[in-house]
Amino acid sequence: MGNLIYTELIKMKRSKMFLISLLGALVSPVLTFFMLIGYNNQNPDTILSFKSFFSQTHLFIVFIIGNMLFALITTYIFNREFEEDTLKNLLTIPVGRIKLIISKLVVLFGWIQIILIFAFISVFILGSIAGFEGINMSMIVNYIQKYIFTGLLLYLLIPSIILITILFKNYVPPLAFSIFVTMGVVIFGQSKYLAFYPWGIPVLMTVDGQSIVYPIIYSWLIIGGLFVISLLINFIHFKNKDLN
Amino acid sequence: MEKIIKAINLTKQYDSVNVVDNINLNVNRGEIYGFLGRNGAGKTTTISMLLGLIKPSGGAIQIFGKDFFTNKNEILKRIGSTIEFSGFYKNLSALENLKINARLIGIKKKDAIKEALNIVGLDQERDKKVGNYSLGMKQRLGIARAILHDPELLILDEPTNGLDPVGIKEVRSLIKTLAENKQITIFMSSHILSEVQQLATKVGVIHEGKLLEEVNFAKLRKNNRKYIEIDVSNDGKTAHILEDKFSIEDYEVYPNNKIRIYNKHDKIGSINKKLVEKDIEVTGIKMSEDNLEDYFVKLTGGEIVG
Repeated sequence: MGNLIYTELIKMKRSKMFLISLLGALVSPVLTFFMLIGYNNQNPDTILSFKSFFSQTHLFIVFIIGNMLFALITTYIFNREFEEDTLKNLLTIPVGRIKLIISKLVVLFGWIQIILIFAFISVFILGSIAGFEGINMSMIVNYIQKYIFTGLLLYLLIPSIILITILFKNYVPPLAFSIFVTMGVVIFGQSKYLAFYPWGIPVLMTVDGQSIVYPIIYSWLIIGGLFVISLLINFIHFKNKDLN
Repeated sequence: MEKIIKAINLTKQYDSVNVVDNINLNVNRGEIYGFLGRNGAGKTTTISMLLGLIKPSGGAIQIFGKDFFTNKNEILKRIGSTIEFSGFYKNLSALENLKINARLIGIKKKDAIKEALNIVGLDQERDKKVGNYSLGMKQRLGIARAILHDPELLILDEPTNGLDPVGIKEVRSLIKTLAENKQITIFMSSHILSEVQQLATKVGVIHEGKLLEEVNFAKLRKNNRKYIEIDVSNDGKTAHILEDKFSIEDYEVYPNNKIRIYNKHDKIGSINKKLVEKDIEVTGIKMSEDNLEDYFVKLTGGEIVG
């Protein structure tokens, strides 16, 4: 398994996608930054606080950017094996099909966390340069934990994207799916039924001020269940799939 | 002789159509087996089954004398292969691409990558990104990847597909060198007869999923399909005389009253005499050999590329 993960990392060398994903991670902090600066210009009596910068950026990620950006990197990491026709070589080495999925999942977990930490650091740097106020150690620890936890929750939704990628062997369906579910998050954002919508559960569990109507265990069962079930379907489907 | 590949009634069905239909393959150690068939005949599907990429709908495969499906991993480690156009990570160099295989196979030999690149003549281009490689270079790199771990069996799917004449010549000589110098058993598919003819010691002809023929080239040449062609004024009457008076059944009637007789060549004088006696005008007699191209074209009903 160690060798498989190592070779997954070699495959990233000189790949533009890593850079693109970091640029994608910058979208939330940069947009939030200009939004807060603009608001402050119109309301000079307000202060530019790190707290609102961290929380607004997080909101942007968990509501809109996260699902789509992570779908993009997931699709890239899986679909390139079909598109560049490298999968047949790997499987005739032989590399176990399930092991291959797991190694890619491990890399994806790291990649998603890097993106979130990069977004966090970007907030910190931009805020420091622009003189945002109110930062302290407990806030840093609190928001690092929140960003990492958000990454973990969004990661639990990844196997469903993998499944669509493997089924269609194309970038378009999984990305279209991610846009569709993101629209769902925006639509259900204020609804109490967000607790039952897997792609909305990260919002419910990490955004401050969300009213939790139903026991949180239901949401855990739903998001955890989706992870396990879609992963199992991936394993079964990919193990038995003919590679033409 | 030790059987390296044995396929028994191998079948693959898609939507109730047998794209590979009950084929039996026998490849012995040291052979270069040419798997000949036109595009869409079922060659790649068969190879994909031999490599475990596609599950057969029926039949069995034995490789190195063992059942493939119960010993798949162990068997695949002893095989090198290329399928269709070899795929590589375009953002990586040739060296980095081969490092992935070397790492995953667990190759301990220090110079294995260098040696493989040397054999295919890509040592000087090893740091170039594969995305900038020509098709011919990619095909050669595919072979380098296939021989990286000193396999006992090489399975090559259309190794010269899409190459220019120089590239074809290079890959052909590479395959020959590998078979001669490394004693690797080679199973290669092609839709080009001349390629198979120049390289293979045995040929299997697949057409519409069925294996029509599996024969040693040496035997085929020995049989050589020698014939006598006679030009007559009446082919129907001639055919009747051949069967009735000379018990000849191995003959073929061609357009323009030409008849080819494949055996009993010593009887040609008597045949000629009898035909004249029966008022059949004989305007030409010539001895010829059916070339292999004619033979295979006839076997498949056309479209094998010479």
